[in-house]
Amino acid sequence: MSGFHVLKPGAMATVQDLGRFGYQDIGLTTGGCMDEHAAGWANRLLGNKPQCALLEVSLGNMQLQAEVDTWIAVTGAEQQFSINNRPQNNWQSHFVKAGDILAFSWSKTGVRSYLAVVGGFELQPQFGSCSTVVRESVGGIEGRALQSGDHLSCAASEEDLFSCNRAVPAEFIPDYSDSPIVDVVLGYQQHSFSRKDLQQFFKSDYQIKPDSDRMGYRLDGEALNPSVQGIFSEGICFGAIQVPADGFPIILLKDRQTLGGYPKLGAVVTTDAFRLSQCRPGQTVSFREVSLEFAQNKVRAFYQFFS
Amino acid sequence: MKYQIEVAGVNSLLLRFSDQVDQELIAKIGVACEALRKALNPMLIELVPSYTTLLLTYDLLKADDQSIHQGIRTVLDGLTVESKAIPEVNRIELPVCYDLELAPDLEALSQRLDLSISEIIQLHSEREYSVFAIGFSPGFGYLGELDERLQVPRLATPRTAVPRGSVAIAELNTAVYPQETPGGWWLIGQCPLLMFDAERASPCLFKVGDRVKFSPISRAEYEVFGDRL
Repeated sequence: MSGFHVLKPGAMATVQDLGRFGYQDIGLTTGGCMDEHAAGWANRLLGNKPQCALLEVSLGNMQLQAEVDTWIAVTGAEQQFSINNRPQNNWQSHFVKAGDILAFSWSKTGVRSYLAVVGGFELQPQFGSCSTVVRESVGGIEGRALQSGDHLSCAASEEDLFSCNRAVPAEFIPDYSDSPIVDVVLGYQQHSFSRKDLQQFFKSDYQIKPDSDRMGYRLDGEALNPSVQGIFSEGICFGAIQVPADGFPIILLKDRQTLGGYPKLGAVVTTDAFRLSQCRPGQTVSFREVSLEFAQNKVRAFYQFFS
Repeated sequence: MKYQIEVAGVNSLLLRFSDQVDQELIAKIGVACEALRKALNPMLIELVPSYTTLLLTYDLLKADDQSIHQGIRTVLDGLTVESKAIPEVNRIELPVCYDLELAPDLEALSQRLDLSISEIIQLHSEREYSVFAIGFSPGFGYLGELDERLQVPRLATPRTAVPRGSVAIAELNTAVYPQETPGGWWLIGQCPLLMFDAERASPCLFKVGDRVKFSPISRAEYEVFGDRL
């Protein structure tokens, strides 16, 4: 069988693509790569379409054995990637041969690494996507994270497909150890917050809480006091900043619940939510208000580049 | 059709149709949702209807803030609930077994509400409910509104695992749990149908705006259903 054999699944590795759209009205969330910047580069290095399924490896410590000769690309969290125990560069494509052992060390900075293969991993999509949402048991391999012994199918590719290993230019490689300033557009429920609360939100440093996950990133820091406690449940967009009764904001990400009944002060700009998704518990973030026009131009430029 | 357009995120707008929940409103949101889906489909990424709102997410490579506002206005201004765009409202009957063994909260609820068990069953099953929203988990429908006499706050301590098929009530709503999930609603029976099945042509038994009625079945009938599944 052509593909890769999972020797060690690590903390949590899942198959992802750009996500599942058009099914939120029956309660299915989107899923998809948490960091589309790193994932986008992994596919781009191989000349893949952006929607090709790849592996999202959280915190590293994963080992695979190639059962095929093909080109791969590794991007995202900083970790020591190796092929047959020989260290290799991150943010680069590599040619592997059947029998080679690919290993990710525990990640040092950032959370999520991406491993793409030429043409993408071949899985049966569910609801139009291969993205794994563990909570819903949908997508990927049986709707779950990878386990030892799993087989991931993909096609072979020739070594002369590319003349050399391709690497992401250094200026596009983020430093995941810094404290990002995250852009935010204010939303319709900003009026549930006092001017003082909003000022405080944009002035303060927040720390990522340990119980942050693919559903949402929880923040510790200045608590806010929304003037309303609950609203009728309504759809939640990617990056929405929801403030429950305890006042600590939650930023809702790829596996977010489809409906929510807490006031939201706005949303993190899509591309900044990708960067945020590489932050670790304890890491500091702060927020900056930007105009809708600025945010749209930034996000449009991203998708123009990666489409 | 009356509505407000509000900014939710970079490429998401929340269309708000009212501040009050009612069954007519949910039909109206259904009409708006279908009309927008038909007219603006290439620009749209997602439409999520709920109680009083419709969340619309659009593709920034195909529309901008101005053009999407224009598109929404063209579709919704002048649209009426009587227009041809009315999506078909399905009427779904869900069998429920209210046997005490399958209804762990029924006795406590009877005491709490000062109603007999048969009164609770009658009040729960005689009314037709609207699907106000689907979410929380795949296929979880918020059905309402419950008779005032059945309205009760959520359990103080949610269960870590509610069995699949549990029929439950809390606040204004009733629901059937499509999967085993944690949950804080009062469990008053079991529905033997699969509420969500990814392998089915229509994975979810209903859509927002549909009407649902519960019909009581005996334990023996419930077991027959169980054997067929």
